[in-house]
Amino acid sequence: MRRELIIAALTVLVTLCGCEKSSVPEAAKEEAGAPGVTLTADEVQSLGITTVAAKAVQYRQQVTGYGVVAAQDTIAVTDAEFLTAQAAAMQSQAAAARAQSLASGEDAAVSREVAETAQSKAAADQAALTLASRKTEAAFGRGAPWRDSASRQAVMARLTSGKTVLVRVNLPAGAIGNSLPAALHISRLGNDARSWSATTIWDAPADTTVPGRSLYALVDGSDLAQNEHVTVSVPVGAAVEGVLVPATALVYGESEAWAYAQAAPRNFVRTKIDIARPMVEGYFVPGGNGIAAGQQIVVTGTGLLLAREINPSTEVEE
Amino acid sequence: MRWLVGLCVRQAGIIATLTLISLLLGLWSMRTAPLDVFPEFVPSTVDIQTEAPGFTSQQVEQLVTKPIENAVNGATGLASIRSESIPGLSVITVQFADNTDLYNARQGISERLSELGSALPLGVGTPQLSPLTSSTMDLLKIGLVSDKLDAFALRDQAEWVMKPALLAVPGVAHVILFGGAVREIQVQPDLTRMTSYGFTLTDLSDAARAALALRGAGFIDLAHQRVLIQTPVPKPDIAAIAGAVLAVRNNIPITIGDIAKVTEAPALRSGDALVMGRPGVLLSLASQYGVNTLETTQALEAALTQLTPALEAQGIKVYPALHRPANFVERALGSLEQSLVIAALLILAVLYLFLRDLRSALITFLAIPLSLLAAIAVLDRMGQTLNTMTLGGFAVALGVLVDDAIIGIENVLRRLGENSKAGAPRARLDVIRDATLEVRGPVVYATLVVIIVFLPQLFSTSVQGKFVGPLALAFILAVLASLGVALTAMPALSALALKARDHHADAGWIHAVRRWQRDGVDYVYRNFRLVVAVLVACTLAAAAALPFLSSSFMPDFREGHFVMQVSSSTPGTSLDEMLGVGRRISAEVLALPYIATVEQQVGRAGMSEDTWGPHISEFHVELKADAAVDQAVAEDALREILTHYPGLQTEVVTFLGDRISESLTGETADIAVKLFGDQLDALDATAHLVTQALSGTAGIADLQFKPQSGTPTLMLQLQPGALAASGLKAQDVLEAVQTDYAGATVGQTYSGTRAVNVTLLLPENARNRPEMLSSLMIASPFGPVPLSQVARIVPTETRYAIDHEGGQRFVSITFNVLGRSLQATVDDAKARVAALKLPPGVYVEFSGAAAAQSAAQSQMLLYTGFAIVLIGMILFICFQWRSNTWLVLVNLPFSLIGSVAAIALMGSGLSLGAMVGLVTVFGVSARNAILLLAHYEHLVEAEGMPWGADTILRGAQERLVPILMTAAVTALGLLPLALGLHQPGQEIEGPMAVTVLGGLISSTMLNLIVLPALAERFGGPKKSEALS
Repeated sequence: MRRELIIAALTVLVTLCGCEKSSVPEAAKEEAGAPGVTLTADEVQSLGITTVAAKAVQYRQQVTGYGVVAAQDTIAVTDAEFLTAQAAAMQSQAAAARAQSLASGEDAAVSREVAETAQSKAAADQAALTLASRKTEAAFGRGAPWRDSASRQAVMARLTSGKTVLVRVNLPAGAIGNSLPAALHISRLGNDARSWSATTIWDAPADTTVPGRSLYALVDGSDLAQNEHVTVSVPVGAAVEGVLVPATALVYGESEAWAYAQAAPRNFVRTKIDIARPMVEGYFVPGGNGIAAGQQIVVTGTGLLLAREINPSTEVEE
Repeated sequence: MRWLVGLCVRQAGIIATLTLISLLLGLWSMRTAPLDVFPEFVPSTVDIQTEAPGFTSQQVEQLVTKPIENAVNGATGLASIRSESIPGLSVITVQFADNTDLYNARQGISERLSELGSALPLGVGTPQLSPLTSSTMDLLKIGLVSDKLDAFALRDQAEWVMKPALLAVPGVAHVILFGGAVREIQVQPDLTRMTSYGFTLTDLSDAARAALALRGAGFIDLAHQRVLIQTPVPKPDIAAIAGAVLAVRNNIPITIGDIAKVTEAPALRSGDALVMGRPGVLLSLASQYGVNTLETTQALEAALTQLTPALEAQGIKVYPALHRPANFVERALGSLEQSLVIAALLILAVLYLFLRDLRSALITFLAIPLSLLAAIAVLDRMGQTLNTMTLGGFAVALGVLVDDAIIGIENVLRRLGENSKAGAPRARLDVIRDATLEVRGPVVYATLVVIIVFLPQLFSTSVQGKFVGPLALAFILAVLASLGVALTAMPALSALALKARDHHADAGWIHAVRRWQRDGVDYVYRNFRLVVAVLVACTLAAAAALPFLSSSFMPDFREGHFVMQVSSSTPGTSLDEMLGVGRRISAEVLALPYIATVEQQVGRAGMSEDTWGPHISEFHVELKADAAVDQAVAEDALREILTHYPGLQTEVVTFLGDRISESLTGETADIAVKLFGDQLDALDATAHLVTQALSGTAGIADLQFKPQSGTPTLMLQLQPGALAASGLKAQDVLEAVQTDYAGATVGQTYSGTRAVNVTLLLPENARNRPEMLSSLMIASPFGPVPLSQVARIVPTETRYAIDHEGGQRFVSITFNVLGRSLQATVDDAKARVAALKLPPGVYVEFSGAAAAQSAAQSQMLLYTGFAIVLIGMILFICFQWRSNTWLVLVNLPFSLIGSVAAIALMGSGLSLGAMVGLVTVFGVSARNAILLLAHYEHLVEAEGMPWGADTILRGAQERLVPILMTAAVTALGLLPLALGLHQPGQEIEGPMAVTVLGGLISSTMLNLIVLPALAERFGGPKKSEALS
């Protein structure tokens, strides 16, 4: 009998202990195992925590630079000089050839002196053409997109007609490596910020007064004006899949940038954010880096959530 | 003395007239004397604030704080220096030694600062000295909210309408504004456009400065006239500023608006406020040093009443008293006044009961107001305010005042009665003169002894002493005045009004008391050893109980107002985050039925006394005037609300408690454990260890270590090679960053009397994205260069604040003590900290209430030692019988019994008031003993009675009435205070009254019953003394 009584008493004791254990707040139980911060529903409300879903996005790193639309008169003058030299060279070369044939043989129609003079002029005009060509190269770069006179002529015709504009672009040194970008996005300055794409791109001669790499790009169908200043962005690298974390979620702590993602209804876990991948509405986080598309991201109350995690002495004493 | 008393008796009419005039003058002094709740208890200090925009706390410490500390060190009257270096601001608190001429000392500091000259780096503001403010500092907090006006307009009203009007009220030291939006015209550069066109921030800044140029002009002297030339003043005209020319290129003017947006925007905030949980503007007013809080508050309220209709007409809701310390002054002085009136009536009744003659009772009673008013007049001339402490001193002095008068009047009546029965009666005036002089000798010595008992309090230099000093001063002045009144006004009035027939036989109840006394003395004679053993045991028990009585340095003041310190547990939390949490806390606080108002101030305002970052805030919570809630319950409810908020460090204190703690430790908590050392990281790590060690100590509440490290920071590391390659100087980069992120004021515009700053600053959307910092374009001689090309930007953590005390770095861990003796809790804490192994170079210091209490006790012990020696010397002079000196001194500890019993019974604890009460009991007990023993000497030496049991009994019985009257009057004078133990404003006087009442009972019993028996055994004349 005595033994039964002891067992019964122990059972009651154990039950009571069990009851007490179950009175431990839910948040505390969860916190024991869960990473990050686990709060009670009351605390979530007190801190004013609100969340938004992380959007799935694709990200390509971009390099930005500045550009100026080349003035038409500069293009026209350079082109005219080249064409003039070219015409003069062709004409004097033909004249020299003709004089050469007329001066050869016993019944030469012109004296040797005339033929030599024609030769000399042809050489001089050829040298002038070479100079004009070098000047054009100096102005438009060696990689200009014309292989022959016809294609050059076609480009020049588009430029002088205003249907196409030539933009001289300057990008920070080393930003795009040695290769040429496949495309450039040219944007007008200001709030309306219209932009156009350019795919005809080549290296421009370097400007000693401007650090960085200079490119020329032909922009079709724009209403950019001559000498207009523009901004340029260049997508570099491959597009990456990931999520967009709103800018309001960003918080700094322990020398890093973070955002809090909701792992469970009241459990919030910190994830590193690389601010070198900014987007207009926030920051890009690559897939598999702790935040999945559709996951809730904390956008208010983040500062105190971090304070609660970093300095847990503020945890409410039970 | 004989001559003086004789003159007063002969010229009684003139003296009575002079008495009346003194009474009226005293009343006038009382009416005009400045009223305050407490004496100036905070050591006199000035703050030196130096703005260092854009500098981190470590830079501020090295470049600003240290040079200023060095410059100020050694200034005249300087007692100590504390400093705090926070981002963008250095605050050095200079504390002056007692009795320093504050204005001269402040001037000395100012001169040293002016000599500092170029020792401070470029861009650092001029060190500013704060005005001298009063101890409690706060005068009034006023809140403004509006549904109609925007944040700009609300702030404008506060800044340009209210502030000047309120500052004009005499006694107001400063008006600090929190909240709203400070109107500013911002020139926000479009960096892309600017760099694209090759302009620099300097170009923009120069153009803006030129556009806002303000020059005076001269005049034209005509033959008969002088005609002035007026130049235009820049107006807050956005279009005009945007249209100002920046440069001319190709004959085309380029304007500021071409490369920047000129707009009206709020200035960068370092603080903000919520009023009743809503965004609003808070005006915090502080009083000048030594002004009358009550009068200044009333004058302010009158000014505010005039402003309010105009403000309300614009849709502004004014909360005129979010914190009004005058409420406590009114309540405290009101209840004290009530207590004194009741006490006066009771005293009059007792006097009549004993003397059984209205005229005698009135003359005796008149001694009280005469002495008190004379003391008030002197206090006023000494620049002291009338406060709860000085009034407490008067309350304590009541017994002595009445005793002085009673002894004289009672003796005069007795001698007049005896004279009338004599065969050849002497002249009435001669009898009065001789009767007055007969008792004066011992009374003068007894008074001197009581004064000496209070001298240690008067000279104490601790904060405790600053409270009790004025009480001791009031007491001493009142007692001295009473002595004067007893020697002049009393004999004169006796001569005018008292006749032999005024002496009445003792009442029946006095005879009964005499019988009890005789029986008591008889019992003590018979059971001497037993009685002494019991008394010694009780005294030892009382002394042993002292350490176990709950003690607190200062009581919890029932101000009806609480301060909730609420800060994020890590620095770096934003203003908006703290305001967000503040809104929710405010809503919860306002939901309590007994709360009248709540306001939150976050961060700091310019030239405010607090050096808070955006992560620190303070709530002021005012209880409803008619709230029946117990203050402790309200405090618990507030604490309970705050426990729901994780990530916060919180503390709930009363305002005066907060100010006292701050004056002791620089912290708001009771105790600060300060860790000193050079290495900040080591200090932080040790602080965490100490916090862990202290956690769980019994009695410790609100244990906090506010880590200053962890402030998120983007550190710029300039790359010298990259700078050179880009043709840039470090200064170019730093100036660009400073201008873009901290702003640069380029001028001011004026509209009427209102000035609006024009600032060059990045637009908010560019400024608040951290990645934009790396792409910030810096204009180089070779064209624009992104910041990332010439500097590494490293996310890191820095400290929010670096504190110095005496030029040494320290961090502090703070806690309050609840439900346990302060000293015992601190002793426990010290033991726990002592068990820790501290890193080399780090040492610990406990400061705060316990340290102050301990220091005050040591000082008090020393002074008390001197006082006892002095008292012994006076007693040796006073008595012809040497043994009487020892009897007085031996008798004193016995009086402790009643006091300790009363303290234990009422649970009031060994507080400041109780300590004063103990001192008072010693004084009264010594006085009664002196008068009784002196009377024995008089009976034997002057009246020729033999020394023996009969003489001893006769002497004791003759002293019965004065001793009983003194005890009864003192008791009744203090009874209303003791009954109002829990009234606001009686937190110090209440326990004091309880202690005195308990002590009076035991000391009166001792003097009436035990002392005669002791005198019989150990007193009396020795042969040589009897012969002399």
